[in-house]
Order: sequence, then C-alpha cells, then structure tokens
Amino acid sequence: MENNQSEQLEIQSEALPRKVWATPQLEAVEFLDTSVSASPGATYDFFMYANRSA
Amino acid sequence: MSLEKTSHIQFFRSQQVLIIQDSNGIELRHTVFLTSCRINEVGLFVWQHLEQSQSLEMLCSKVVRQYDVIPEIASSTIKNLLEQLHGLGFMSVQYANLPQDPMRQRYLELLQKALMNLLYPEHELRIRHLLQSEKPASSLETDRLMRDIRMTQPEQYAEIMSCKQIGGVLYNEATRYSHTAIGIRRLENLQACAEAVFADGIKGDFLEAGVCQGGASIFMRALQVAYGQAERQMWVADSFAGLPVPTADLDVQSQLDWSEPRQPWLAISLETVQEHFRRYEMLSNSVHFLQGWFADTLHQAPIQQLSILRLDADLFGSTTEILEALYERVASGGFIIVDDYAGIQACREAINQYRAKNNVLEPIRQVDWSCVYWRKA
Repeated sequence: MENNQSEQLEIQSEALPRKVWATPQLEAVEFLDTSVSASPGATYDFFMYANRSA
Repeated sequence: MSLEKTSHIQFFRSQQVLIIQDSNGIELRHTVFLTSCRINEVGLFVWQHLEQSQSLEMLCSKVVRQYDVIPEIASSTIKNLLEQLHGLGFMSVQYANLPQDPMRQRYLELLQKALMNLLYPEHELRIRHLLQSEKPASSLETDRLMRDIRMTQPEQYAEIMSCKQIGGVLYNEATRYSHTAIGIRRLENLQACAEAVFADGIKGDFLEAGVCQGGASIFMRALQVAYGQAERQMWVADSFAGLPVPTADLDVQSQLDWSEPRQPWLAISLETVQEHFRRYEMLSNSVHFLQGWFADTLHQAPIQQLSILRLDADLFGSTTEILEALYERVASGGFIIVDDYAGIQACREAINQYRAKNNVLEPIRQVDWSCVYWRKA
C-alpha cells in the first residue's frame, strides 16, 4: 500500500512542471566566533579576499 | 574536499548543523564550529536529501526530476556545493573502497582530543588564573577554586572549548599548552584529505612545514598507520628554533617578527617534538625530521613525491620557500593545505603570487576562519 502511494506521488511529481533552477552555492560564509580576532597580527579578512576574487 | 571519483563516494550531512529560515533566506549554521552560510532553495533541496547517505548520481537524479536543469549542469554544480560543504565540515563522506572501522574512527577522534588538550582543558584555566592571581597559590580558597574551576569560571571554560574546535588564538595563549593549536576542524580536514588520498590511490608521502609542538604531524603519521598506509613516509620540517627574523618586504612591513625573543612559545626544540611523537607511539624510521630554515633543507631533501603538503609557516618568505621547493613534488590528486591563508595577509599574498605565477587554477576551499586547501589537478 505504502509503495503504491509512493509510486503515485512520484508519478504526480514527474507530471508537474519542473521548478526554476538556480545554481546552488554557499554564500555569505561567516565565522561567528569572534575570539579568533585576538590572534597576533591576524587580519581576519578572508572576506576581503573572497570579495576581490568574486 | 575536491572529490575525484565520485562514483564510490557516499555523502551525508553533519547532525551538528541547524537550518534557519527567515526573511533573509536560508541559513545553515554549524553549532560546534560556529560557522554560518547561506544557501538558495536548490541548495536546501540538496541539503534535505543528505539526511541519509547519497551518491552524487542519486542526488543529481532527484534534482533533475525537481528542477529544470540538464544533468551535466546539475552534476557539476552539486559537486561544487558538496565540496564546499565538506571543506567546512558541514558534511561527511564515506568511500566504498575504504573499509569502515568504528574503532579506528574512535581512536582518531580520541587522538584529536588528546592533541588539542580537550581531555583535560581545565589546566589551561588554572594556569591562566594563577598567572593573573595575586592570592597565594597554596591557600584553601585557591585550592577550591582550582578544583572546581570549570564551574567557577564557566564563561572562560566555554571560550577555551570553542577556541579548540576552530584553532582560535584566545588571549594569544592557545598555542601554548596543547600539542597542536590548529583545532579539531583542521584535524578533521587532515583526515578528510588523507582518506581521499588513500581511497583514490594517490601515491606519496606526507609533509608538514612549520610544526611547532608537532601535533598536526603526529596526527598525519597516525592517519598513515591507522589506515594501513605505514609504508608512506612522514616528513617534519622546522627550524625547531622558532620563526626567522623576517626579511621579505611584506613580512617586515607587516611587522611579523615572531622570532624566539618575541614569541618563545613558537620555538619548540627538535628533542621536544621527537618526545611528543614518542609519547603517541608514532616515532619510527618512517618519520623524518628536516631541521633548519626551509631554504636550506627542503630543496635537497630526499623526497620523491608528496600526497599531502601542509604549510604552517605564517610568513610570506617562508611560505614562498616551501612552495618553490616542494610544489612540483606534490602528486596530481594530492593536497596543499595552508594553515594561515585567511588569518595572515603576508601568507595569503605568498600563496596568491605563487599560484598566479605558476598558473595554479584549482579552486581554494575554506576549512575554517584561517585554513584553506586545494587539490592538485
């Protein structure tokens, strides 16, 4: 019975128009622990680099 | 992780990640590594299907059924997403050709904790308290505080525990009292790189340049042993006398003089590092110590091929010297890991300049707030 339902859902799903595609990627990566900024000489500016390279 | 032969890989997501949906969109937040990132609706669809292990092919077929995209585009973009997630520790992989061994995994996780001093971190609080305290160390009051310090200083304890996950530099002290300061996240990254090397049959030794107390190198050797790859060699390169006084323009301009008189805790002797290897039962004829400045030791070192090259040299000059001596000896499919890329601008410039000069185009993947890696094509 469950298999039949699952198959029906699958068929219904395939019959529906497919959704609009958008490339999946990680955005706005952020490191929430601020204690790392206490590093001697650390600039902690990965995002500056990331923004430049984007 | 840069994943080569995806057909024998199963992907599954970490249980330590929360999904937060609000008016700003969809956020994934790692509750241990305290890392946050945003994904779109397709990314969320992929994430939700990673609750149970999936192959890339299975994921792609589900995505193609749901979204208006051709399989080739779906496959390449999802692979890129999975590599990013894996790099940050949001996701794990299993290789069909690497037999699962729960006890090996438990050993390696326990080893990570031992190397990071996560088994008894209270001592670090105690030392800090005694250094800052004006009260006599032998008083009854101090004895009680020392005994219960995890409860009496809960915020400081939580800071230390968090710092040890991500290799933070809390109060400039985190490097001092553990056998490595790189954090659990970067140790996990080392394990992920080693597993990829073993699963894909990439030949070559492991090398770390800039080892401090030696903990990361010990873990690299332990990975070789634990996966039955003990015939590979482990190279441990360091001055064993601290960082050099900087001479490269960028290092001088950045005031990166972390030589022994300024940063004595970065200057750990060869004998001390060898003793650490011995304590973890990792000292053997397959572990080689290259003592001296990188410019003097690495070029002539009798290394045939490397599959993992880990750089932890901080400075522009030292980082450049390592790459010039060893990059060509990294095998195709091998990994280059850079501990200080995001944390220290001079190191980042050295990497960027070398990559530009030598047309290195492989994507750089983030591990945490400081460390990155790429896989050589």
